[in-house]
This record gives sequence, structure tokens and C-alpha cells, in this order.
Amino acid sequence: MKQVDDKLWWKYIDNTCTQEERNHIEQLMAEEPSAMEEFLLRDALHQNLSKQVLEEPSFNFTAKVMDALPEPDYILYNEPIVNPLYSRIFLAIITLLLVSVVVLAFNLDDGNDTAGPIASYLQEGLSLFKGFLPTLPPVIAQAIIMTMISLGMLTAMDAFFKKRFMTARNR
Amino acid sequence: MEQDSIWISKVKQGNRRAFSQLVDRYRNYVYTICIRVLKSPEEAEEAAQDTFIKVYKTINSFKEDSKFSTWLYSVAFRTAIDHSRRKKKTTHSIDDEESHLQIRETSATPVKSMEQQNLKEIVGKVIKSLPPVDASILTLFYQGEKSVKEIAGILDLSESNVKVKLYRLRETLKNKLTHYLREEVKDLL
Repeated sequence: MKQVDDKLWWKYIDNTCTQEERNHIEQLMAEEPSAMEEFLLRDALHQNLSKQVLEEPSFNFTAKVMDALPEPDYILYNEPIVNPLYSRIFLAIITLLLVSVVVLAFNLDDGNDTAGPIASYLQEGLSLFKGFLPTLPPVIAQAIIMTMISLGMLTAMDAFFKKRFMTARNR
Repeated sequence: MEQDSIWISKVKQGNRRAFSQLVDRYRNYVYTICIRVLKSPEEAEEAAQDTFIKVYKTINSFKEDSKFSTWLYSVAFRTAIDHSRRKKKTTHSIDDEESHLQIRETSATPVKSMEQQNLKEIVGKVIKSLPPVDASILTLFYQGEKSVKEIAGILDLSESNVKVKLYRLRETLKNKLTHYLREEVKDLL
């Protein structure tokens, strides 16, 4: 009676044997009823091992895991919340409006009543400002103007450098 | 597997809901590995929970050069082993070289008393009574559908060691259950 190495049976069942080994086993099974029995016993075990089902944890297992998870680290976003393009468009519109209002206010005659309430308030404010400036000593008036110009320049420089260096660092 | 990658990248971005999807998908696999090692359902559930928490904390270190399931099962196995060492309740050492050679004696008694049960149930009970590594090998091979190479990686064993263990285990089971297996195949003979 021909014999088959026990390992070869499992290689045959797991489909990891060579074609030559396969042919040998199949020929043997066709010829020897005991070989067929050896195969069937192992195959039955193999089938029953494959049919085993997974164990199941308790119903609320996922919820328990999720409750036990640590809190996430909050991510600090460097990205602006509003798209810079939209901010620029918005600023341009606001600037245009302000310039228009100021230009309009400067060009209004004192006695013009058709300008409406906003223009009247602006006109009033401007006349107060016009009246206030001459009362100041020239040095203080100049200092106020210089401070305002300096602040404007500093703000612009800050925006410029922030944009340049922050972008380089993030790259 | 592709779905896993999507969920993993979402979890890496801080999406907890995606992680709950991963838990739902793998909870039974992880729990089964843990119960194969620890034998007790309560301890297995605790170990499975710890496994998922560990995975959540270290998911950024997962590089996706292997399957997520393989990584997850190896974390599950190590966590279960840690639990068993801590509780000192396992009767067999996982390093016991002889453990794979025989089914524990306790398994013979239930098998004899289960004449009326079908073979699938008997095999299930025998697997439960096996030592941790042996039971894990069978579970990973048959239910986890892992290759010998992957099992070796999960259990931190050599490939040849897993091959030999798998062969000996199945031969031992076949010899122990020959009576029941014959009953099953008698119509085919």
C-alpha cells in the first residue's frame, strides 16, 4: 500500500502543494480506499474548523470603547477662516464706500439740504474736526498726523512680513 | 480593505465616528483572539477594549505597509497576553514548547460527553480548551483568514514554527476526533 506523508494531506487541502504532488494524491485516492478515507477525515475537520463562528462581545461593546477613548487633541489651524480673496474683495468694497462718502462729504456745500441725514452728520463731524485742528498747537497737530501715518505704515509692514515669513516657515 | 484605509485616514484627522466604524467591523475578531488567550469572557472583553484604545492612541504610527487587520490582531494578542500575565490565570505558559503537542486533557472529557452534539460544536469546544497560542493560530488561520506568514508576524513566531504548529494541531485534532469525523464522512465512504 502506498503511503502519503501526513503533511502532504494538509498541503493538498490548503491548496499549497505542487501540481505533481496533487496528481500523486489524486491518483492514490482513486486507487486506495484507505487513502480516500484519510483525505475525507482531514477534509471534514478542515470544513468544521472553517465553519467556526467568531465569539461576540457584549451588545454595547462599541459604545463602551468609544466612551473610554481619550479626548482628541484639538488641532490649531493656521489657515485663515475666511478665504483671503474674499477678505480683499470685502476690504476693497468698504474702502471704496468710505472714500466715496468722504469725497461726497467734502464736496457738499454747507447749505445743501438734499444730501440726506448721513451726509449731514458727516458734514457736522468734518466741520467740528476743521474747527478743532486750528485750536491745537501746530506741533501737536503734526504729531497726531505723524502718529497716524506711522501706525498705518507699521500695520502695512506687519502684514507684509507676516505674510512673507509665515509662508516660508509653513512651506 | 480600501474602506479600512479611508476610515484610518479619517481617524488620523481626529474623526471619532470613523473609529467606531473600525470597532464595529473588527470587534468580533479582536474579542475572539482575546478569549482564545484569556478564556474568560469578562477578561477578554476588557482586553479587547484595551486593544482598541491602544490602537486609537497609536494609529498615527500605523504606516499601512501591512494590513490594518494584521496590525490590530497583533496588538490584540499582545494585550491579551499582558492581561493574562497580570491576572496570572492562564494555566499554560505561552512559551511552553510542549503546549502545541497535545490537546489539554480537559478537552477529552467534554468531547466524550457530547455524543449528541454535532461535530461543529465539538470542534468549537475543543478549540476553546486549547492553549492560547494554539487556539489563536487556528482562529487566525480559519476565521481571520490570515496566511502562515501573517500569523507568524501577529504571534511573533517564525514562519516555520507556525507551519509546524498548525500541522501538528490539526493532526492531533484529527486523531482525537476520529470517531466523530468517521461518523460525518461515513456516507461518503
